[in-house]
Amino acid sequence: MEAINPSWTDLSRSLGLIGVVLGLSVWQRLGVTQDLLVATLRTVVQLLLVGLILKSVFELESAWAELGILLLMGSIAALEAANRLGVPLLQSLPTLAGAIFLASGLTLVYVMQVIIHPPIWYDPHYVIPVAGMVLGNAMNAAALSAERLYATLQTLRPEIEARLVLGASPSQVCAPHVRTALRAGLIPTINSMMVVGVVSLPGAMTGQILAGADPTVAAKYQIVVMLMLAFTNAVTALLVTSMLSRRCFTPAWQLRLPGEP
Amino acid sequence: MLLRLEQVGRQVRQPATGEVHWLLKDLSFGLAAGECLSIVGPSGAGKTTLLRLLVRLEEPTQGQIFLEETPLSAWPIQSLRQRLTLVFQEGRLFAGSVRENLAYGLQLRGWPQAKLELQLSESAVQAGLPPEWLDRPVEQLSGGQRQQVALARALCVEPALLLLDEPTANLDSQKAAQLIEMLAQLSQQRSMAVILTTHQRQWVSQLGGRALLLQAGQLTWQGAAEALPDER
Repeated sequence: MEAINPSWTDLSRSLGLIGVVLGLSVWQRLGVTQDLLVATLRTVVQLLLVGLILKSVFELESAWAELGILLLMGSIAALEAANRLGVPLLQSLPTLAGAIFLASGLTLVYVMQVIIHPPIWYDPHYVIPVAGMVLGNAMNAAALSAERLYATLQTLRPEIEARLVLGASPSQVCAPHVRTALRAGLIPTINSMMVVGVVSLPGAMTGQILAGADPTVAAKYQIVVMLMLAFTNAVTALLVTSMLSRRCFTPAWQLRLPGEP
Repeated sequence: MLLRLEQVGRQVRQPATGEVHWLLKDLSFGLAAGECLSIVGPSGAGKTTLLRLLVRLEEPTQGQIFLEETPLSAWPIQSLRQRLTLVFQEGRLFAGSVRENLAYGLQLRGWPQAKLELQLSESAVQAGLPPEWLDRPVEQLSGGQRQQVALARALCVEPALLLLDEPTANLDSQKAAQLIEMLAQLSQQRSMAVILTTHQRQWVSQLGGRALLLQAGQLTWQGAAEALPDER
């Protein structure tokens, strides 16, 4: 089956759908009309732009251009994760960026070289979409596990200090909380692995089927995707919690959360 | 001297306003091994801050603190916290049984189980804990009982200097008197130095040793516990 390429006219008809939503917003005075308009505009512009950029990168057939795109995607993911934390950027960004790049890099290399091994090793048709999924997940895992760790250390400060004055080291104090944060970070992954394909088809699989792929091939790819995302999430959360928890203590074993003097 | 403070001060900046103020200022005093010291002052006088500086949960902004004539900052932190420990005002017990709380510090130090059991029973007795409490979950204990567990937990690790923040605050006067009596005895038996903070002057002479008065972060009087002036 050949993929159907929607014409610009077809595409403009999809605006009819959002028109209904806009109408609803005005009629019910939901107060989101302006946001909806901006969001629609951004969706159209951002995706068309990404399509164009990717097309030109694919045509360049340059590993360097691809690397540039990957670094840009990774940096945006790290910035976004750090921004969500609401702590001074410089205190969390290096750790989050390190964790996101390392975990995503490991995943990408394994998936490309060991599982998919495309004829051209850096073939952007494979690398970029996979990197997008991996980085997006790493970003969420990094932000969630960091948030959870900070919140735990903040709430449990009295108890942590009581352990410190009895001679416990930061790593002894943090070990159970690192475990809790890790477990919490893995639960959404496990849940989504449980129901994948049962309730809704995942985006990557849907895309492949729409683009004309054999559904069984699409399913095989989706299995790879699910398992690789589980790996990315776990490694990112592990790196973030273990590195950040260390940074929450001074060399004199004093608890100092970001933003504290 | 076991402990010596030289012109110690601690300044903080209010995050909201950016204003700086001194929690403690120009504090100098010394403490001999095995000696008891009461730090007396109203709430907000800087008593808790002082204890936090001594156990190095916070750093002084000015001056220096010496333990056994070595600056605190030069002590390997683990050795420092094996020489002194702090009992927080709220006790700050860990979820679990009394026994687990008492064993914590000893497990950190890698004590073998048999020796550990012996040590924690002994400390429990010294802190006035009945043996049948050992297997109770700490959630079942009253405020005063929790305070006793916190004391026993600190005694287990055999500090040379025991710091207690307002240990009598949550106790009725009979229990408070017993606790002070116990601390005075323990200090003698173990030749362990004790520093406690209190806003209740009646316990100072009972503990004995020396006392100092803190007001708004500054030392306003120091001398023998019996000579502590009445509240003006």
